[in-house]
Amino acid sequence: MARAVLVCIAFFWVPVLLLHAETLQILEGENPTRIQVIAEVRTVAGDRSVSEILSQGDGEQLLRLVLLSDSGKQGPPILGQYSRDGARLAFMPRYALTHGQRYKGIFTHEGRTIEKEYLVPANSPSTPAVVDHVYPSANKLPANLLKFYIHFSKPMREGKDIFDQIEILDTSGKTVPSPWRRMEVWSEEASRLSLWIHPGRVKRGLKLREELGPVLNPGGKYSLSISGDVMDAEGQTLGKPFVKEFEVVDADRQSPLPSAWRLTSPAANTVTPLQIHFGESLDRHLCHRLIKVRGLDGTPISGKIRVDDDERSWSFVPDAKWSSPEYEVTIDSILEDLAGNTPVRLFDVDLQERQPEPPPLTLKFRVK
Amino acid sequence: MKSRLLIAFLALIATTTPGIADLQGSVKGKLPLKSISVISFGPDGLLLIGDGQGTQILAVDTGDTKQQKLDFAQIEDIDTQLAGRLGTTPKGIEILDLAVNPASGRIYFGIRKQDSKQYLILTLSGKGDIQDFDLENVTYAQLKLPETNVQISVITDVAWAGDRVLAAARANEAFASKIFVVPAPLKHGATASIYSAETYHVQHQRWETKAPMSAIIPYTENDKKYIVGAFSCTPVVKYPVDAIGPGTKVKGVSVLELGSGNRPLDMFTYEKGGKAYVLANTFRFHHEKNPFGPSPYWTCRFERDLLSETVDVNEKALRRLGSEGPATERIQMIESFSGVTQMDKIDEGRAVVLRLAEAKLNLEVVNLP
Repeated sequence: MARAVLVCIAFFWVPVLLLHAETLQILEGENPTRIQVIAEVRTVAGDRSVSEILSQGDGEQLLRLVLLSDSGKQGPPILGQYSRDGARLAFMPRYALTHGQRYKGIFTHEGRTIEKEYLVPANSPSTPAVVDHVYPSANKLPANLLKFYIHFSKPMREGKDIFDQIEILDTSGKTVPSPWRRMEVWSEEASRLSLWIHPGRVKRGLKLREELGPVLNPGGKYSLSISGDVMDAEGQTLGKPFVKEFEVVDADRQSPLPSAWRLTSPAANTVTPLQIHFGESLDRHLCHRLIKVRGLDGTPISGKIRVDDDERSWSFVPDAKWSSPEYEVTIDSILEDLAGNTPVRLFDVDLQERQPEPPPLTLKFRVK
Repeated sequence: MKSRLLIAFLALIATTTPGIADLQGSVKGKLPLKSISVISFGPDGLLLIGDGQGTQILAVDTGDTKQQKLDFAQIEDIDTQLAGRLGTTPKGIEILDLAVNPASGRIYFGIRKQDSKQYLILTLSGKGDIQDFDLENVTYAQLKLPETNVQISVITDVAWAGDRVLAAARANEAFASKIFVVPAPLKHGATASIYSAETYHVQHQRWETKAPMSAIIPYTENDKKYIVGAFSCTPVVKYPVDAIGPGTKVKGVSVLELGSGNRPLDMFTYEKGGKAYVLANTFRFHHEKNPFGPSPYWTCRFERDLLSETVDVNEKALRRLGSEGPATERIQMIESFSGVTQMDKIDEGRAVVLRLAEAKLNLEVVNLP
């Protein structure tokens, strides 16, 4: 009798035990940040309990992947796609996981839980980003300088931390407090930062300038110091700080006037460069974009532009030979010098005051 | 390849399904998003995304119009919660903006994932559930900002004004300010009109054209439409947007001045006890030297009627809010909003805010003052 009972128990319970044989795997995809979490229930009598789980909400109740904090605390379920294939329920995170972070897959089924941890290896160190160049290039800058352009060798990590990682130090090595306008302006690929000195400390008569003083004083020696903690997009730091030292000269309160520029004409039927010497440093990127060469009928002439000599000179090599006797250079009215002065208006100006007549913004030249 | 192109074409052909009345000729497909500077809402679940790098505004029919109750008063460490749903740490994301969809009460976040530079939108339901808003297959209209000699890289604010979309932007290289207007109905492929703004800066008593607006709200007075902009250091200025042609310069009227050293962040209007107010939160960047309160993020409320002022404006707009306090009772600092880094109105009685408190970023539902 007892033997018969044991046989019966074995007969009925073996499938039940098999039904409860769950597994959980984490499979790596194209790289360690792309994974698939697969839960499987080995069944004898079908996969009814798993097949009911199709929607994402139900999927999260059964199978989830979470981020683990440094202390091991579990984060919320990570967003992603669920798919089912028979008795297998698979989860794929929608976004790439983060290098150096630990994750846990958790499969809960009929009161039992299986967990599996996964570590995304830290990014293998690559060549750290470096500061390729800081504009203005000159080491003598006006007291009313408006901005720096910082060019990095790689796309960088955007975020407001950058305003605390770049400082201006005065002659005694003391940090100049609150110098920046804290609004991020990056190039599209985030390898160039336009860093504005707060205009409220540049323009005269503003309470901010009265309270804090100007950021730069004539006669002072300063350095722009970029911390080695600045991160590239992948989270790797520069490692080494970058320093640009400069002296500050008197404020520039003159408009850049094209009529005062020195223009060197190219030779006819050659591709020798047209050269312009400004006599002062201008905004490097605006020089590239806002000074154009045209035929006398206004047709743009294509070619390559260089801005050199601490942004004091501009040259243009045409793609095709200079074939006409005469051309013109057009200058956009918003071209700025280092203090934000344009040919038509000073940066620090009251519009109610009588403004000078707008200067000519076209320079004609004859090829030699 | 041809079949792929055909599928893409079919996905992008103009939809004829009626949706939001203010969206016309919209298309369905993957949103051509390059970045998110700001987000806000129009009617019927119309999401407006200011995309500075794409020099565009994207108007998206979210279909999210079912009102829901907010079951929470606070979500601690909201940055950890949002980042966790994306599988990363709070440092792995930047919360670029927050907006409440008035048609549903759902909260939307514009997010940048820092390692991949992906821009995305997460939503928070009334039950506190964080979900991904699908940008792969949505109905939208693309509104381009016109090409000018000024390269726009950041849209500082975007707002629905009842019969048009208003936006303010700043440039990458030149120090320049522009206002953009797109009339409703919003048509896919439309190009915004652009205006230059001339503004009296009360702090240094000068007229200027260049300083960019940080936050904007639409405003109507005697059936005339205005855009109200708040600038750094901190004039609040009203510009007429009726009866001006594209490319023209609009002259503003500076009606308020909220003290130097501040950058406005968010601004909205609401009514309480039969009176209309404007709530504005700002960042005080030299807080350590000259604080306005316990946090560099401080908020003030002023009576909306102050925007109708015609006499004490510009040179006389001296209703300053300084460390010594406001010069008029019609402007008040709001202590219950101290530390608020981002905010939006839920209804006439409540706002949702992100608040920095003891190095934690919490989301809170706060009663309007």
